Amino acid sequence: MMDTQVKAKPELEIVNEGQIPNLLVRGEVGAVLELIVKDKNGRVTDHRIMKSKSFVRQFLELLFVEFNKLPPKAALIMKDTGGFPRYIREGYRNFDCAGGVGDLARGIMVGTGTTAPTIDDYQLETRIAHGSGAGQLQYGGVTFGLPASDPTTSQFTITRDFANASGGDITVNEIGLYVVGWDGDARYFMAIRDVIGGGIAVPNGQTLTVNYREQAVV
Amino acid sequence: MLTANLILERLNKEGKLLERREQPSRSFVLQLMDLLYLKHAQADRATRDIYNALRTVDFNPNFGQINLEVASAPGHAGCAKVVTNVDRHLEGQDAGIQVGKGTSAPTPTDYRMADRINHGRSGAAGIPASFANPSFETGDLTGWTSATNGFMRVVVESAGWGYKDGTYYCALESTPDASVSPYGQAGHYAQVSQSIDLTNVTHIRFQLRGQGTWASSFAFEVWVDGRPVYRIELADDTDYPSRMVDVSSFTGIHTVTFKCIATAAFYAADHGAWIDNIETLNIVELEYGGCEIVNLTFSDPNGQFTIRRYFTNSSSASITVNEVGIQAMEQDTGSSGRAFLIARDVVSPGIAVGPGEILRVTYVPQITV
Repeated sequence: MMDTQVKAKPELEIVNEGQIPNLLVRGEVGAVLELIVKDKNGRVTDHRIMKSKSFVRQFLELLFVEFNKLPPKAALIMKDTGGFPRYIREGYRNFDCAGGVGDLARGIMVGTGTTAPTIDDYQLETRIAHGSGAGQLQYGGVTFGLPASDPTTSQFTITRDFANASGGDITVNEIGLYVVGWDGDARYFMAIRDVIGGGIAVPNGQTLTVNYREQAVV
Repeated sequence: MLTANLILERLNKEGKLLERREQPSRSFVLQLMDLLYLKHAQADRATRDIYNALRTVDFNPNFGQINLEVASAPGHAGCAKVVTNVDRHLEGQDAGIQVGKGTSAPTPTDYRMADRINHGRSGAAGIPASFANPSFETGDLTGWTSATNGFMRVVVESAGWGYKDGTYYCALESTPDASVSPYGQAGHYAQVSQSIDLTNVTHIRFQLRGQGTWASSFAFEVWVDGRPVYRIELADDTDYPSRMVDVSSFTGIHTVTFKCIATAAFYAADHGAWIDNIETLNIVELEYGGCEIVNLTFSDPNGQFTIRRYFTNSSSASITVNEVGIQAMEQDTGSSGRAFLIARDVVSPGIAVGPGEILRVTYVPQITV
């Protein structure tokens, strides 16, 4: 059976100054995780906003690589999403998460795992596959909202839609962000992993939109 | 979640700890979000650099591979005193941890340190002496001594320079006779001089205009006693930039000369250099060491690394640091390296770094799951 293409359009809101949803405290750089479930008519059936808690070690490692402009001979060994060690060096692709439709290598990912995150997590516990088969969700392309700021907060948004055409309900319990690390080729690393308490149900025929709003609060 | 600790330590020249401060860093700013966005989205991004210019940062740099670079070589040696242009800075002090004197509270749209302390060794303990009649507002050369040769003159004028402050400025320029054969020649000059105590003067700043279509036949020089300390080839200016001369190596009374000298034949009147608003400054500087990024460690639920830089006070002034920040280098779509402020913190009260002392600034970015 051919995969059904995701038709839902990511909704990138223009945030007016002073109206940026802010769950972080002064001095924090983090992400606000927004989850929206819509039915086939676009009606919102569930909407949650929460503080993303879990940059994992690969995020800090990539920041270290970039800040240091590490050359190949001083590359940093990082564990990719397959659990393989990679010698990661400075490169323009580092942090790339602009995955296209159905791209399971980079971008926002969802899963059913419920184990609390640790700093050493390198992959989602149980990732949901792309597709319209049983237990699968259709991964849309990753889109981005441009950076903006208000008097206290600067931010930008990473968005991905997950459409459920599986024929059954699916509960998403974990969400992550996979990004590229460069060793001469693109390798893939998990930068963020969050577990959603109680999970969020995506009924058959409905679409889950995940917004990661990376923010810095002064 | 990522946070950062900011640690400031004041050391004596033997490295003994004299004072230690530790505070949470509050202030990652918009440019960090811009640069993370650029890398996540793999898209060029217009971002404001430390000189307030909107630069389109290239997500795929093809030269130098500069990307979010914070590690840095030391600032330049700062020892060249002849023909110094202190308006330009090398990468060594444009990337990495910065310090400044500004006290304004940080905002997300800060694009530069409020009052950055530049890399260098200058800084005097006292108040700088001033030039007499520094803007020629007496309408004449009171306080100044003039000299000319050939087809050159010194005149105090009141018209023709739209950007000058006050009423008057000083023209070091060609005479009407320059239009008549045998014409003006290379080496003809006009100058004004004044003796001044430079003990507490680190820099001399003035407005300079290259005047007339023949301005490119002239150079402008500043001399201290018998030697030049600054030289610029003139052109017919449409703006009137401030120029600054480093005189921090001089103490005591010296004769300072502002001189317009022909470098080629010239053929018309009213061409040369106009100067105004000559100021003396006491600019304090700290020597920027290299900025190192080390000690990446993890212990669940935490991870952290260290960004560190040493600042040495080689001046004779006590220098108070009120703000600390981080700048990153990126490459724009024109293949030029640009510096962007990504964090800025205010230190209150400021930390006074005495002559000969060292300030060690450490940022420790941390994540906690």
